[in-house]
Amino acid sequence: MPEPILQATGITRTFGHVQALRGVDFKVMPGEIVALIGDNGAGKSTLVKILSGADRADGGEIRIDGTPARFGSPAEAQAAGIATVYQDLALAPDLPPAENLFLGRERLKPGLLGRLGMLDRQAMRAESAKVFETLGVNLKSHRVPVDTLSGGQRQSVAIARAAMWAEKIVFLDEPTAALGVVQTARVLELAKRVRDSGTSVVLISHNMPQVLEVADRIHVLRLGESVANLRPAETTVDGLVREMTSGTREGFTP
Amino acid sequence: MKFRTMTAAVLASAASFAATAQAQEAGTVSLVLGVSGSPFYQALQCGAMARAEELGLALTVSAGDQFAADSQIPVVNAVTAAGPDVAAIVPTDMQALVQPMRELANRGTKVITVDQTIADNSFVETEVLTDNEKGGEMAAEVMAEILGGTGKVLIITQPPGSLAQDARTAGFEAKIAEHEGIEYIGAQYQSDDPQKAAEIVTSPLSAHPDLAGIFSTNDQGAIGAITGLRQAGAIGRVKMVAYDAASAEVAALKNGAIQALIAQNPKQEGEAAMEAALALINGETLEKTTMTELVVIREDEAEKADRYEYIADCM
Amino acid sequence: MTQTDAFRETGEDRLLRLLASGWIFLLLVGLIAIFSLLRPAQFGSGYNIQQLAINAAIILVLAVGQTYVIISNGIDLSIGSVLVFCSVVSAEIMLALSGAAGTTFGTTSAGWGVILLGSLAAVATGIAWGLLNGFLVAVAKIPALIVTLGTLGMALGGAQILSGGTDVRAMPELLVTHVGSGRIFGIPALVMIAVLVVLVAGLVLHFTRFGLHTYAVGSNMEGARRSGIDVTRQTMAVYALSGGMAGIAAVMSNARFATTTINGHAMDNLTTISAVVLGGTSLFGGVGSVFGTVVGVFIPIILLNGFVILGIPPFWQTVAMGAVLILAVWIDQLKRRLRKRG
Repeated sequence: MPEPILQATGITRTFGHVQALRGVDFKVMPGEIVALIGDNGAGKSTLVKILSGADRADGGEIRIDGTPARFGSPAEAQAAGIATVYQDLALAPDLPPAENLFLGRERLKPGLLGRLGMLDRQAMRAESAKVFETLGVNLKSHRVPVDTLSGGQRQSVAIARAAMWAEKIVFLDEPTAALGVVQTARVLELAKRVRDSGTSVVLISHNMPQVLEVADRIHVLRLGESVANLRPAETTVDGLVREMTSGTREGFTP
Repeated sequence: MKFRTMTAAVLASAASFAATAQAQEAGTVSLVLGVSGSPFYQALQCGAMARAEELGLALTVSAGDQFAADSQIPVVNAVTAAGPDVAAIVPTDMQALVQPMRELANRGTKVITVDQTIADNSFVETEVLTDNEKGGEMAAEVMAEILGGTGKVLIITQPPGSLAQDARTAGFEAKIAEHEGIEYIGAQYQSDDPQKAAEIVTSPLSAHPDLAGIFSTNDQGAIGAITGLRQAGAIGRVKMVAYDAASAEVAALKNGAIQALIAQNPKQEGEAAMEAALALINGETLEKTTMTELVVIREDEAEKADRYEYIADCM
Repeated sequence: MTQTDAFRETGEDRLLRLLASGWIFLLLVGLIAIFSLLRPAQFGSGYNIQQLAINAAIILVLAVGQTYVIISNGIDLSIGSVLVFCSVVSAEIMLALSGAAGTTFGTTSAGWGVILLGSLAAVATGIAWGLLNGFLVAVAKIPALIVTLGTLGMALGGAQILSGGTDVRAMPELLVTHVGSGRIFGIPALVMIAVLVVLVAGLVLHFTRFGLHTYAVGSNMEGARRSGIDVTRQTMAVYALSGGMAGIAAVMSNARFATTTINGHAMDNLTTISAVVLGGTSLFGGVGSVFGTVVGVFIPIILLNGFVILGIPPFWQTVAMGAVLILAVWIDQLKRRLRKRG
C-alpha cells in the first residue's frame, strides 16, 4: 500500500469552552478524491483550516509524505504543495483568468527586463491556455475580467489555479454550493480531471449523492471526531446520514 | 443625450456672448478677478461691467476658484491666448504671477493690475489700487478718537507676506504711536479664518482685561474678532475698527459691534480699471498708479454704510 | 479558434485595454474640436497649446500617484498638502545652501548641486509622508480617507510651522529659468518631466509585477493575500509612490511659481481624484489606467481654458466640470452593469 501524502493524527482544537476537534485522524492518499462530510459544527471547516495553514491545531501531528510538518500560514502550506479553494473565491474579479492563475507567482520576462519586474504576459497566457485545456475548462473569453464569467466558470478558474500550484492536494470547500445543475456537473468533472492529473482532491460537501458519485473515499466527522471511513460502493445516502448523525468513534477504521 | 444638449446650450450662450462682444468696436478687455464668488470682487466686476458698457468696451470677466496662484495662472494663460487689447488682473501672488503676466504683456496685451500688485511691475501700465498705508493711518486716527486718546489696542491681521495687509498694519502702527495715551500691545495673526480670529481675541482679553480697542485689517478678522468679543461679553466695551465693508461688517456696524469701518470702493476700482483700459486703447500713457478712494464710515452713518457695502448689485 | 489563440493578446486588444475609457477620450477630442472651431487663432495657437500642457504638468504628476492609490482601492487626500510641505522643505534647504542673491527679484544664485539636493530632499520628504500614510492604512488599519485627511492637516500645518506661515520666495534662479520656464528640445521642461513621469508610471502599472499586484490588491485584498502577495508592503509602496510624486510635483511647483505656494494646492486632491475617476479608474479599486488619467487631467484644463477664451462667466466652468464628472461616473456604472449582464 502506498504512503499517504498527508497524514493527520489526533488533531485537537479548542475555542474557549468549545472543543471543535477531539482527536481527528485524517489522511489523503495519492491520486484520490476524498470527500469530507459531516453535519454543521462537525468540525470540517476547522480541520480544513488547520490542514491548509489558516489555523493551528492545539494537539496532534501532521505528516506530509511521512515527514512531520507545521504550517504557520496558507503560504507555507502552499509551498508544501497544498492549496485551498474557498467558497468566497480568492480571485481578483477585475483581472483576466490568466493573470489570476499566475497571481503571486507571475512569469517575468527573461534578462534585465525581468529583473525590473516586467511581466511576460504572452508566456502566462500561453501556459494558462494549456492548463485550462488539460483540465477541460472552456471559457468563452480569456481576456475579460473573471468578474464577467459565470459562477461555474469562476469556480473553475479558482480550482484550476489551485490545481496548477498545488502538486499534492487541493481542498475544495463546498465548490458547488451556489451553482446550477449543469455548472455543478462541470465543476465535479473538473475535480476528477485534477485527480487524474495527479493532484489529490479533498472535497468538502453537504450533497450526499454528489459525494457518492465522485469520491473515491468518504471521511465522516461528527462532533469533532472521525466516525467513519468508507468506500462509496460500501454505503448509501442513508448510510452516510446515519454516520453523520449517530456515528461513533468506535466505528472508525483509519 | 442630455449632456450634449447642455453643452450645446452652454456653447450657444458663449457664442452669443462673443457675438455681442464683437459688435462693439472700442476694444476688448479681459478682467481677471482674484477669486470667483467673493462679494468684493463681484462688486468690482459690477463697476467694471457698467463702465465698460458706457465706454463701448467689450469686457469678459474670469477668475480662478481659489485666491491662489496655482488656480489663477491657467486663467491668465487663457486670457493670454485670447489676446485682448487690455487685461486688468487682480494678481493673487506678487511673485508667481510675474512670469505669466509678463508673457501676456510680451504678446501685445496692455496689462493693468487692480487691487493687488506684483513684485516686478516694469511691464504694468498702471496699478489701480488704494493706499493701504493711508488706510491704516485713517484707522489709527479713528481709533484714537473713539477711545478718547487712552487705552490698550491690538491688531488682528494676516501673517506677514501680503503687501496690502502689511501696509495697513504699518500705517496703523506708525500713526497710533503718535498718541501717547494709547498703548499698542502688538499684532495677532489670523489666516482668513473667522474661527481662529475668534480664538485669537479671547486669549489677549484674558491677558489684558482692560483691552480698549481692536483694529482688524480685513473683514474675516473682524468677523472672527466680533465672535470672540461676544463670547467674552465684551461687545461695545472693546471698540472695533475694521477694514472693508463686507455685508457682515456693515451689519455689525449697525448693531454696535463695530464702531468704524475703513471702506474701499471696489466699484470705483472696477470703473477706474475700465477708464484706464480705454485710455490705453486710445494710445495714452498713464500714471504708474491710479488711486481709488478710501472712506471712514462711523457708527451713526448707516446710510453711508449701505452705499459702500460690498455687494454685487448687477448679478 | 483554439484555446491558445484565444489567449494571445492582439494589438487591438492592447489598444482597447489602454482606451478602456474610450468615450471620455472622445469627449476630450470633441471639446478640442469645438474650441478650435470657435476660436481657431486663439485656442489653437502654439502658445495656448503649450500653456495648456504646462498647466497640466504638475497636476498630471500628482494624478499619476493618485491613480495607483485609487486602483489599489485607497484614496490620498493629502497630496496637495504633502506637495506644499515638500516645497517648503526643498526651498528652505536650497535657501540655506545658497550664496548670494540672483539677478531677478527674489532669486538666489544657487548652483545645480544645491538644486539637486533640494529636489532629492523634496522627493524623499514626499516618500516619507507616503510611507506614513501607507503604514497607518495597511498596518494600523485606519481607513485611508481618515488617515490622509489627518496627514493633509499635519503636512499643511507642518509647512506653516517650518515657514512661519509665509511663503519662501527665494528660489534658485537656475531652477526658475531652466526648469520653471525653460525648454528641452523646444518642449517646456515642466512638460518634459510630466511626460517622463507618465510614461514610466504607465509602463510600471501596465507591464510589471508591481503594477499587477496594485490591481490585485485593489480588486480583492484578501484574495491577493491568499495568493501570497505581501499586501501590507504593496499598500505602503503605493502610498509612498503617491508621496514621491507629490515630492516631484513640489519641485516643479517651486520652479514654476518661483515661490512656495502655502495657500495654494488646496483643491489638488479633489482635482486629481476627479481626473482619475474621469479617466475610467474605479473608486472601488482594481480597474484603471494611466492613459485615462491623462485624459481626465486635460478635460477640466481644456474646459477652463476654452471657457475663458470664449468669455463664458467663471461660474459656468464649475458647473460644466461638475456635470462632466457625474456623467463620467454614470457612464462607468452603466458599462459595469452591462458587463455583468453580458
